Amino acid sequence: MSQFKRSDGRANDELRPIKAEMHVLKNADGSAYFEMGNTKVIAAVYGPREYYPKQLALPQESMVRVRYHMIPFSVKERKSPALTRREIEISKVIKEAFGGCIKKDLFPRSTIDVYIEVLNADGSTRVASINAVSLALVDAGIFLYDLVAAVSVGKIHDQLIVDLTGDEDQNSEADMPIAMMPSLNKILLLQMDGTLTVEEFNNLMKMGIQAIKKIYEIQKETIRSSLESVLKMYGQT
Amino acid sequence: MIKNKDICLPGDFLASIEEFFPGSGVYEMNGNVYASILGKIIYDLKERKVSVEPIKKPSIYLKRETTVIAKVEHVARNLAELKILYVEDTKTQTKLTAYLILKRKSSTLKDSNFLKPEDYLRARVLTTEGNIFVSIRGKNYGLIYADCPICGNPLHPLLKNKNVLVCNICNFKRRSKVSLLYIRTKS
Repeated sequence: MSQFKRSDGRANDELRPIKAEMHVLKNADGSAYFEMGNTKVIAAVYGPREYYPKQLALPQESMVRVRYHMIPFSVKERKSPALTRREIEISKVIKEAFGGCIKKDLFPRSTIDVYIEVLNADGSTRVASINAVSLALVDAGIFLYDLVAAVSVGKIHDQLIVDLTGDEDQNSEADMPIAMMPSLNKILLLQMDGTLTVEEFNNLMKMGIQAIKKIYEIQKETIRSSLESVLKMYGQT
Repeated sequence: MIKNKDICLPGDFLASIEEFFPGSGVYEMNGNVYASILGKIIYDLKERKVSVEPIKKPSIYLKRETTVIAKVEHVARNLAELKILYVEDTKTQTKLTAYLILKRKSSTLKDSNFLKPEDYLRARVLTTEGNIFVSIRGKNYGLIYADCPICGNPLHPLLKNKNVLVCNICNFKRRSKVSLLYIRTKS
């Protein structure tokens, strides 16, 4: 194995500093800000609200609509504000991940709209988005099976690493975002780009699950710390 | 040990199904009861039921028997389409559509003035599965505000017959199902 040191000096299984905040947008039903190192994401949840056109609404459950978007100054070179193919794909991936986590049967004929804006991109934007959306859904009072925590793992210079930065993502031999419901031990999202051996895959899964449990604790801590302001806002003590 | 009124998060284990039945705000999976919303845990030791009282209810958290205030949008022969404005005295951000079935067989309801667009109703939710259906049966349910279709002034219920609304300006009369909580305005 070659001697490899991560550019920010982190250990292979170490996460970047995480900062999370809830109820950052006044007009949304629920919102959250999530920061993993230099990756900064804001998520807003609207709904459940009526779905239009009404004839397309699902009679037995609510729909989840997700829009993942990177703002033009979030990357090194200005990006067009229009949705790219990658953004449409990530929107779909996140929508499918949350489809397994939201109790949709409680709000038939309605829609839950999720808007994600990546403010600054430095790798792992989709997992940071998932972490932000999870907090925003709790803030909106949506019924969930569990919180969703996500992390990206990968392989670079034959080393297995957790929470890839933008540079690491570009130079990696493989990368794998994982999202799961930690209490229920259920995986909601698992994608892989590159090649891994079975042993490497198993090791990466173990590292990913450990990192997800750490993020889950941070999410729970964020909700508890913002509880006081939420209780005050809704007139409860 | 989890206590009553403790705060729980979605996915938190609350009890096993042998100990407590699942109530509202919780779900059962593999014999365990978990919370599904951020809220306060309530253990009902009499009924052996565990539920979670949400700290923040979603904007369309409607249950059976919930009282709503709605505005009449459209009246068809047997059905009126309403927009829900208030749920349990809380203004809703999103205006939900609800339906009220009009039983035309009843002699009192034959009148075409029974419900008009722009009327305000106090109703209770009958079902939320699929479409939302409401009912105005009961003393406190029915019309709570209506304007005169001729001169636009507010209508008032007659003292002798509460179900007859009259306009003090142009004497227009209409028969309807009026709630005891009808809003009386100065005219």
